[in-house]
Amino acid sequence: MVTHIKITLFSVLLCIVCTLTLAETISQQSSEWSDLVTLQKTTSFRYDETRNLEMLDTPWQGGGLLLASKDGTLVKLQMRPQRKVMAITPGEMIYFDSETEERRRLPLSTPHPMTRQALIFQELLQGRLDKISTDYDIAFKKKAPNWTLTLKPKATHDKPVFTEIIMRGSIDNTTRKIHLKETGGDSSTLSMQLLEIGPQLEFMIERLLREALGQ
Amino acid sequence: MAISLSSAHRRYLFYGLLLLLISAVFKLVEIETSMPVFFQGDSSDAGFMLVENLQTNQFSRRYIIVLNDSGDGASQLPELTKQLIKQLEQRDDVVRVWPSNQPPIDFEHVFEDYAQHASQIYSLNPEQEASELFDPDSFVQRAAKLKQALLSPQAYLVKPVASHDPLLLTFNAFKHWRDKFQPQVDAQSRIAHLMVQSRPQAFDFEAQQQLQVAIDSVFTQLNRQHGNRFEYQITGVPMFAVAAQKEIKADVQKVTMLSSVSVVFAFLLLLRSFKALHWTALILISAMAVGALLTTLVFGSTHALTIALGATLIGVCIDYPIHTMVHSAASKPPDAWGTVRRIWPSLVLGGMTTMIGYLALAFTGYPGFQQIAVFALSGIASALLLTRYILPALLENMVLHYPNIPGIKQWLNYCVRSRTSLRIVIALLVVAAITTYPRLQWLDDLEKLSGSSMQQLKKIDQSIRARLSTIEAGRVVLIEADTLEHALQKNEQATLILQQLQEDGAVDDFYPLYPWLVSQQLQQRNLNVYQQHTTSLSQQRWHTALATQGLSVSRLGNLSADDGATLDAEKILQSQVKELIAAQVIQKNDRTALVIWLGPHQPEIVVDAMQSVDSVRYISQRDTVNTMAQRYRTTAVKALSYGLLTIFVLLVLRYCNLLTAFNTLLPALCAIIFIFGLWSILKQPISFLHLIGSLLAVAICVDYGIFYSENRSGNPLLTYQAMGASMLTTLAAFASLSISTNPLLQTLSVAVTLGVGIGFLLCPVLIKTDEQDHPL
Repeated sequence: MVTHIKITLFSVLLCIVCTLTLAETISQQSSEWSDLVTLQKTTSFRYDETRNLEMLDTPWQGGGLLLASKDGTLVKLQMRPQRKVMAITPGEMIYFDSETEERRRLPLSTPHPMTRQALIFQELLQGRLDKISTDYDIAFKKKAPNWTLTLKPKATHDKPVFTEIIMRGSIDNTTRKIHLKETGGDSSTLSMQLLEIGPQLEFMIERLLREALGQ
Repeated sequence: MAISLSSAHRRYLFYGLLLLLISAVFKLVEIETSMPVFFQGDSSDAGFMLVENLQTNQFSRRYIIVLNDSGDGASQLPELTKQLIKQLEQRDDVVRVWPSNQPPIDFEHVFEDYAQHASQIYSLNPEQEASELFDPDSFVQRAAKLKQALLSPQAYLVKPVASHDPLLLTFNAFKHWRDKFQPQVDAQSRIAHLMVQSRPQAFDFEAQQQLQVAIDSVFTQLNRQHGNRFEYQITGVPMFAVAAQKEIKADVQKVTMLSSVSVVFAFLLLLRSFKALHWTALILISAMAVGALLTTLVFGSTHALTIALGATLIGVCIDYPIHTMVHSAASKPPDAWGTVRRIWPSLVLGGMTTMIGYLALAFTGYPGFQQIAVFALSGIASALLLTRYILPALLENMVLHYPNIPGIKQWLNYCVRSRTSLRIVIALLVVAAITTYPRLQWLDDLEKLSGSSMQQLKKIDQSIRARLSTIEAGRVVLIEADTLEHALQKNEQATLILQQLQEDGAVDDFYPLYPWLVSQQLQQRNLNVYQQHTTSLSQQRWHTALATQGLSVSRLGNLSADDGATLDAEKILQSQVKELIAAQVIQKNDRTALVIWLGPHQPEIVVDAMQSVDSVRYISQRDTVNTMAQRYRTTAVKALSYGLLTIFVLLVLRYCNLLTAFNTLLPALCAIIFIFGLWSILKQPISFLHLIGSLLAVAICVDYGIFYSENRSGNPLLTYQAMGASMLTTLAAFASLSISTNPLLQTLSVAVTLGVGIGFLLCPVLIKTDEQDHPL
């Protein structure tokens, strides 16, 4: 009887120790993940984009500037092949085609494939792991001088817009590469090179948002 | 056989009958409270079909909730909206909840379905648009646009369409709708609109009221969690339905209560007998029960307003027992049987003239008044018969108090002394009143007849809808046809005209059914033109254009279209698209009516333009209802005239003397002339309700003329006292209606109370009896 109680107590203690160790590992990993992926300050990147669409025989190439502020606002200023401003603010998506003067706005609360994409992107860059992890399995690898974050939709996710998201970056955070595979078969790669960090970029973000909104 | 029954047997028979009647009322009578049922009834006219459809379709079960974040800092609306949607959608009586800026259908799939029929639906005028749509010279440009679209954020919509329809003709078909799909973003994000589709019918008051309470409670609870930073407003047909029902219910309770209390008070004051009150009440209850039963048997249910108006019957029917009692109280020794036999001819004639008044209501066109007519006719007939054959048995061995109404004797004596001068004054007043008639104003706007709580709800509704939509409430282009296909063909003609009017600036916006529903005829025309223009040469040029842009020829190069299955309108009406267009398609009694909602527009130009298409017309829902009111008013004028004429004919037949008949009718006529003069001077617009009230006043006043003229007791003071007692109880009943919040009941109250009072006072002035010169 005493032996039985000892074995039970030992098993319980072992479980507690294992759980605490695992939690510590996950927490450390999340914290590391978050530190590397999250943009803590207002940042700008130069980017090159390649899109492989099923309906295009040759990949599409584009490029421009990507600006991210710490409140989660992302502004993509496409300069090649045409000038376009695409932005994700905390409340909405904004699209402006300088050539056709076409303007579009969409609240992020709207359940569109577009907004779902935008929200994932925003949450990734803000390091909101809890939100993404409800729909995606996340794997993080760090091998100096780079890190890799891989997201795959959970089996329970009924309307995934991406079949895979791979984000790679250098530990010094000067380069990043985001590879997105969409459910429809299309994919795109965004290669980013750090340009500038600092509050002075807020002015540029503000100006681009105003332009996109036609103000 | 019944006449030979003893008084005791008659009493028992009456009790038995009363018990049976009350049981039958509880078991059989169904109460209806829907106002449209009372006012509009059933009509085959498409305009009325539209009005009815607006009140019963799935849109009528929809609420709009406006949420306003008045707190500081970043808006917490998205969070509240999510929580509210989640909690409300858990309820069984809620079908779906969604933000108003998000259409309730899945456009991605809907467009893909329509893209499969692109070659059949792409244009309203394919022959004219073909040269532009299929111009091979524009192919390079179109391929470039296709590529842009595939790379844009709209790619999720474009890609599924392009795989079936590389020329993106589907979007050409939907170009008018394009901007309507763009969710609107509130600049400050401080206001959000939620749509709540409820499961119960809009007029299922109990269920809707429960839901309204639940919405309020969920909001209050969530708002508390957010520090009470939010406010909300709500509108929707069920809000009006529940408010109207509450208002009617409260009115019925108030009116019935006050009417009963005031009649009882007047009765006790005049006759001072609880026993007499008890018997009279039982007779009146029997009369009302017969009225409710017969109305339910004829119409399937009795409307609450019928009961409210029917309650005024207490004031009319009580006249018969009161007359019998007053005359019986004056007879020495008391002889109820002898009294009732003596005054019976006057009672019957009076009862018949009142019935004519109520019967005329049935011809005014309002379904509700047909009910009231049946209710009143059966009630009056029952009250008369019970007064004649049961009341004397109930009054046996009872000592009744003779009412001595102060001022009656003095007024009678004054009338006798100064009749000539009074007649001159009345004649002058009649002339003066008639001269004011050209200034009479008519009121045909039914909206002004709704209660104050409704007006408040309407204001909220208008402010909410003004923010949400550009649709001008209730103004539409209406298309009628025998089949859906014919209706769609006419709809396409009307849409072309509206497009032109929009280009000309006469119509700011409109919501066509094309291309959601496309006629088979137009689909065939589109296909023919498409096949003519997509030759192998143009196909080759399209391939070249695609290649130039780096687009996949294998995926986007096929332009061929075969004579495949067409878009089936009936199937579309069963699909999710129904959520968008169901309110615009009305199919009833083998007829189809289609509705095109209009934004701000110039009505005269639209009216003129629509005349060029057969069976297509511009209508205003409000104008339609008001036209109906106008029609009812005209009918009410006729009913008043024919009612008066019929009463006059009846009097002529009774007296075989034109002058006597005219004299008997004269007090009622003068009363009506004065009332209309008064309305004219007060600039009160006259609705059909004023006319109906006047008709009732005439019908009741004529009774006084008959009683006074026939003077069955041989004593004019006694007759006038009996009339006074009746008049006071009638006034008590009708004056009670004035406390109602419903203008309909208020108007009837004023018309009848004034008419009856004036008519009573004029009897001794205008009707001369031999005995009158020697009053008691």
